Amino acid sequence: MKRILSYAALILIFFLVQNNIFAASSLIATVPNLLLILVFSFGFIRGSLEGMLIGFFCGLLNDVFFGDIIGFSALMYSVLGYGMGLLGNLYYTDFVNMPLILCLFSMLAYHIGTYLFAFLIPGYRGFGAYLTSVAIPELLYTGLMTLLLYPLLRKVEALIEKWEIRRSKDYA
Amino acid sequence: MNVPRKKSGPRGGLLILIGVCLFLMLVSSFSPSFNSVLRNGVNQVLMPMQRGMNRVGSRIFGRLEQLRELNEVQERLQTLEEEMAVLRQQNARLKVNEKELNELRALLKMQEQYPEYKTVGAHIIGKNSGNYYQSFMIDRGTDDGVVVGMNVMAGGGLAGYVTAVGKNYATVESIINSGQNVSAMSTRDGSNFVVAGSLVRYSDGLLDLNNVSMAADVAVGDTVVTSNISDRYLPGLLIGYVETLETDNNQLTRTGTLRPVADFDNLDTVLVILALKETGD
Repeated sequence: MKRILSYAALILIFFLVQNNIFAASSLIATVPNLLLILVFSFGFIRGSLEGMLIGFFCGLLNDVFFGDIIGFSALMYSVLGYGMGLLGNLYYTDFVNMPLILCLFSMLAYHIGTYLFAFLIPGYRGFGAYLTSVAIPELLYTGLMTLLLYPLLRKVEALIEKWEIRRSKDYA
Repeated sequence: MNVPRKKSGPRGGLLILIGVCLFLMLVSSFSPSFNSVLRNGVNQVLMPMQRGMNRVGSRIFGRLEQLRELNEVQERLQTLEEEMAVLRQQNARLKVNEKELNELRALLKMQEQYPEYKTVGAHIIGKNSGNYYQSFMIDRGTDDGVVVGMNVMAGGGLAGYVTAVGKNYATVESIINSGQNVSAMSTRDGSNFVVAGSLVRYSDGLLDLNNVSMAADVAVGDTVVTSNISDRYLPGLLIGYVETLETDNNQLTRTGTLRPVADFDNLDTVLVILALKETGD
């Protein structure tokens, strides 16, 4: 229960910071995708099920507020969270460069998906322009934020785990 | 610390989630009312939080922004003062013209084509974080008389139009979005053309100018306003000034770029025009 509440709080905080502080400030031209960091971090640390569920709710929140079609981001984020969970099974979690590689993977997958969905339909071509003016700046900023946030999220995760262990001891 | 995990992920769960998402996409693309019901519900809960966060954000970044803006403002003051002198003179001349126009109109019994619209000011409280798509949220809604389709101005220039509205908020899609077309006209001879948002131009703060006929009397520096024939925008709203203009290969039309009056990088407050374009249907 505490775990679910913590996830909800994290999603909410990340969403508000991303959309109401970062995006609303004119100093920051490219907004790092914080929700994506949340999705791939927990997907990787905790596995497919949680990655996928966190992804679903992050995406849904985004869609409900800003998307034209509700469900698209939710779909992308869920699949990403799930995929990161699978990767987490394969690789050692504490590998130092892992978060950055994760970030790269997720951003690429996310942007290719977004491009295919949002830009091909209205007849927009220029993938090169999309890549240089949108995808790469966002990738750089998100990578930077990953370096800061991934260790923090690991600490949060450790904290939640501690609560759970204490709780199960209380019951036993 | 590492808890052993299952070998394969919960594949069934993923399939269910994908199904739910596809269902939502289908429903929301066919019934817009479903979107607004969902948006309204979530907004009722999150609106106070968003407002608060926005205040926190402006407190954090406000000081830095002020410092940066101070220099710009001083420079602009200089140019504005010069501009004002020119405009004063122009205004005096236009007043005489207007008097004459009114007299002629009275003779022709014509209605005023560009009435003054009622407006309501609004703060921007959230922006879409997607870096390729520009829409933002303002803190006025149906309570203040805002409805879907109303035009939104910023800094004296057209900024966009309302796409969704709730009790105390509205979502605005801006004209710089790639795929957004505004039917526009030149103030010089009233010739019509299209102002289009473009991802490539957006980074330079420009919009595309398409379908300018060779016969049209348009030159670099001309004022461009929304046209009478637009079905979305009220006529006569200032959009911007022609920046460049080149002849197309077909020698029939010209394309170019337009510098918008609204400063899309520093949107903070906007004006919603409380009037809808009457399209006759």
